[in-house]
Order: sequence, then C-alpha cells, then structure tokens
Amino acid sequence: MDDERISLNLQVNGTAYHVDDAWYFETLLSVLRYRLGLTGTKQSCETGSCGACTVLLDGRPINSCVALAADVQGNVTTIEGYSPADGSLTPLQEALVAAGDVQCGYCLPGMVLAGSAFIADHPNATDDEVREGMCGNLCRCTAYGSLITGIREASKR
Amino acid sequence: MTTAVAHTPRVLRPTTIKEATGALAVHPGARVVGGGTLVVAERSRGIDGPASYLLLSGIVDLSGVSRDGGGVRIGAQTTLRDLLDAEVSPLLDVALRSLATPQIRNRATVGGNIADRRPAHTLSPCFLALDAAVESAGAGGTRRRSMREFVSEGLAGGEIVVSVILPERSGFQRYTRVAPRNGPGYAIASVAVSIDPTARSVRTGLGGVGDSALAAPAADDFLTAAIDWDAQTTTDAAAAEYGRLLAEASNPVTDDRSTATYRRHAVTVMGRRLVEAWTEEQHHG
Ligand SMILES: Cc1cc2nc3c(=O)[nH]c(=O)nc-3n(C[C@H](O)[C@H](O)[C@H](O)COP(=O)(O)OP(=O)(O)OC[C@H]3O[C@@H](n4cnc5c(N)ncnc54)[C@H](O)[C@@H]3O)c2cc1C
Ligand code: FES
Ligand code: FES
Repeated sequence: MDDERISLNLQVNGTAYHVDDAWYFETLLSVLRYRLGLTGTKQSCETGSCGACTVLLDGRPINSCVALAADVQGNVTTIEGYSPADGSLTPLQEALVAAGDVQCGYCLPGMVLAGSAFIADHPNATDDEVREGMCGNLCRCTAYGSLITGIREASKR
Repeated sequence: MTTAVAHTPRVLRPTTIKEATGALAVHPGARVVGGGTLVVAERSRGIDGPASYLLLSGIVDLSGVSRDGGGVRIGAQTTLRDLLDAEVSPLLDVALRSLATPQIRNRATVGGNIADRRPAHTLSPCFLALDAAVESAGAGGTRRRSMREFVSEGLAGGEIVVSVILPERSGFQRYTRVAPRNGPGYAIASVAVSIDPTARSVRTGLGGVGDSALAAPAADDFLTAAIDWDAQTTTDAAAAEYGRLLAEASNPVTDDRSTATYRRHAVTVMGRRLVEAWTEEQHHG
C-alpha cells in the first residue's frame, strides 16, 4: 500500500539527508546502510543484543537496529563521520590497533563508537569499568582481552 | 449500511498527552512506541509488526525526572540512562546497571519497561519496593494508582503511562537477582526491598515469579512486626520466615529460563539474605 511509504529527514555526520519512500517500519540501521550507503555500520543480530550496529545519537551510543528511523531526532554519527576524513586514526583507534589482535573486524565500528562515548565519561578507566561499560558490544572472534586493553589505554588522561 | 472507519496513518506523532490519548481512542490498533527497543526487536524476530505506530517521543510533558517535596516524579519517556544518571535510589542504581546494555538504556524508556507488566522486566519489582504510584492517562482523563494496583490491573485499552511517582523513603534499599550471568540479560528471579526505619515500613517487589511483578504484603507485614525498630535488629528465624513468605507470595512457572521450583527456592534464599544484609549494615555498616 502506498501509505506504507514515508519520507524522512535525518541529520547524519553533519549532513542533512532527505529520504523519500522509506518503509514506515524501517530501522535506522536499514536506512543508513541501504539508502544512504553508509555500510560502516554493521548489521548482525538485529535484536539489540550485539552492538555491531552501534551509532551515536547526540553523542550517546544506541543500537540502530532497534531504533525506528521515523523516530530519530538529533545528530547521528556513524563510523564514517567519527573517523578523521584524511584517513588518519583517532587516539582510540590507534590504541586498539596497538593492542593488536583485531581479527575479522566486524564488531569494530560499533566497538569504536561505543568506546569513544565510554572513554569520554570514564577517564582512567579500570578493566572492570571497561567490561561493564562495554557490555553492549560482542566480539564474535572473542578479541576481548585486547579490546579491553585498547579502550583502557585510550581512557588515560 | 456503511460505517466510516477512521483511516489510521502509519506513523502518529502526538505532541501532547491529550493528543496521544485522543488518537488512541480513534485508532485503537496503533502501537505505542516509547523508545521502541522492544517493539522494533519483536518485529525483527518475525513477530507481526504493527500496522501503525504512535510515537511518544514528541511529548515533552512525558520526559524527565523532577524532585518535588521529598518525592521524585519520573516521566514515562525518561530514558533508563537518564534515570540512572539522576541517582534516585541505591536500589535503582544496581537494578538499572543490570538492565540490558548502555546502548539499550540510552533509548529504552521507563514507561516502556513497565507498561506491559512483563514478569521478567526489571523496574516493576523496584517500584513496588519503593512504594511508587503510577499516573496513567486515557481518553477519560488522568488517574493515579499505587504500583501494587498497577501490577495487578495494568493499563485500560487506550491508556498510556504518564509517570511514576516515588515517595520519600529512607534507609536500606536493595535489589538482587539470579541470572545466567552478571552482564546484560533478564533475571530468572529478582527481589527488591526497602526497609524504612523512619516510616517503620517494609516493602518488597518480586520479579520473574508470576504473571507480572508481584508485591508480597504478608511478608512485608510479617517483617515489619518482627523487626525491633528501636534496636534495628531482627532474628535469624525471622529472616528465614520472610524468605519463606516470599516464596509463598510467588506463583512461578517453568519455562526455558528455569523451573518453578528453582524460582521459588531462589526467592526464599534471596529474601533471607537481604534481611541478613540489612542486619549486617545496621551493626557494621
Ligand atoms: C538486548 C536487550 C536486553 C534487554 N534486557 C532487559 C532487562 O534486563 N530487563 C528489562 O526489563 N528489559 C530488558 N530489555 C527489554 C527492553 O529494552 C526494556 O524493557 C525497555 O525498558 C523497554 O522500553 P522501550 O521504551 O524501548 O519500550 P517500547 O519498545 O517502546 O515499548 C514496550 C511496550 O510498552 C508499550 N509502551 C511504551 N511506552 C508506553 C507508555 N508510556 N504507555 C503505554 N504503553 C507504552 C509499547 O506499546 C510496547 O508494548 C532488553 C532488550 C534488549 C534488546
Ligand atoms: S545488529 Fe543491532 S545490536 Fe546486533
Ligand atoms: S574482531 Fe571479529 S567480531 Fe570482533
């Protein structure tokens, strides 16, 4: 039915997007990946459990797979917008590379965005604080040891 | 004869409580969306999606935590993150940190957590222990009920949760649960309790052991009478009996998470330990 299509106005990585013809039930994840071509945001469980689809909404991490695109107000930041445009890495990304052991990398966009919000709120975090604060991001390759090290190191002030 | 059926738009965006309840009266099939973490995840799981959504996010009167007098008013659209940051109660602090993940808490709302009275949900037992009241609104207006009434009656058709009101309560407040792990995930069973020496009152909430969260008035009355309020003590036998009475108040099922027997046992042990922890805190804390 025609009325199942709606139009959306979204603010993503500092750019205003107008999307016509989105499904009324479409998730933010689907719009980012399949309508805006921002495939850095990963699609995995689609039930809010794994964190692969994490984006920042006004600086706070959310699961884009359980957010209705029609109900998103505010500024969305994806990994494309977070990463420096010149191809360099942020200190958090550097720390994760230095900690090593990144394997398939599928969890990383979500891990980096959730981690960036976590370290902003938790200077000099302990391992336990990292574990609790990052519990919304699963790593299928179980690189947890180095991910915790990287985020802890990046939180140092 | 043909009856005019109001065409329901796919997305309804009320900006006031009155607009929302008015729209629900005309479009009873619209699914209310708080933060949507549950509504949207259900659709992904293949459960039939709603034909239309009514978004509460545009209603400013539904959001935020405010303190008036000694009490606290929590708007239905307050996110779990904002409730955690408001540091309203030590009991809520622990419960909220166990509730889902930071990402979910940034989006999920208080109203969405309690509206459907799902027995595994975290906040209703907490609000029972804090002796909360729930304000709801329908086409006929607004009403206020105790949390005890709310968990047994729920919302009427077309009603929305407006706020949760916590009265001032002092003293010991604890939330405890058994769950597959410390990290995110629903509890198998949970107990929340507050023991208020000023009001000389005990209030308990149970999660995961009934059709909804449950109060335990007989256990509350028993412990209130068994506590020596001047000395701030009670006996080991009273702690054990309180645990037994919590199990008696329970009506658990056996499901994919646990057996009814285990749930009853868990509640008995958590109840006893909570009273022991209270005693310990009075005399060594
Ligand atoms: C990975 C994951 C882990 C989770 N873990 C937990 C957990 O440990 N404990 C727990 O309790 N929950 C958990 N949840 C479930 C859910 O996220 C929370 O219960 C959350 O608080 C629901 O709020 P919401 O605003 O997102 O609800 P929504 O999805 O918006 O709504 C939930 C229900 O309430 C109705 N509703 C919403 N607001 C109102 C209102 N104001 N008035 C009337 N009806 C309303 C909706 O119609 C719907 O039926 C988890 C979810 C996920 C995805
Ligand atoms: S894809 Fe969104 S949390 Fe897993
Ligand atoms: S590196 Fe493969 S999922 Fe984390």
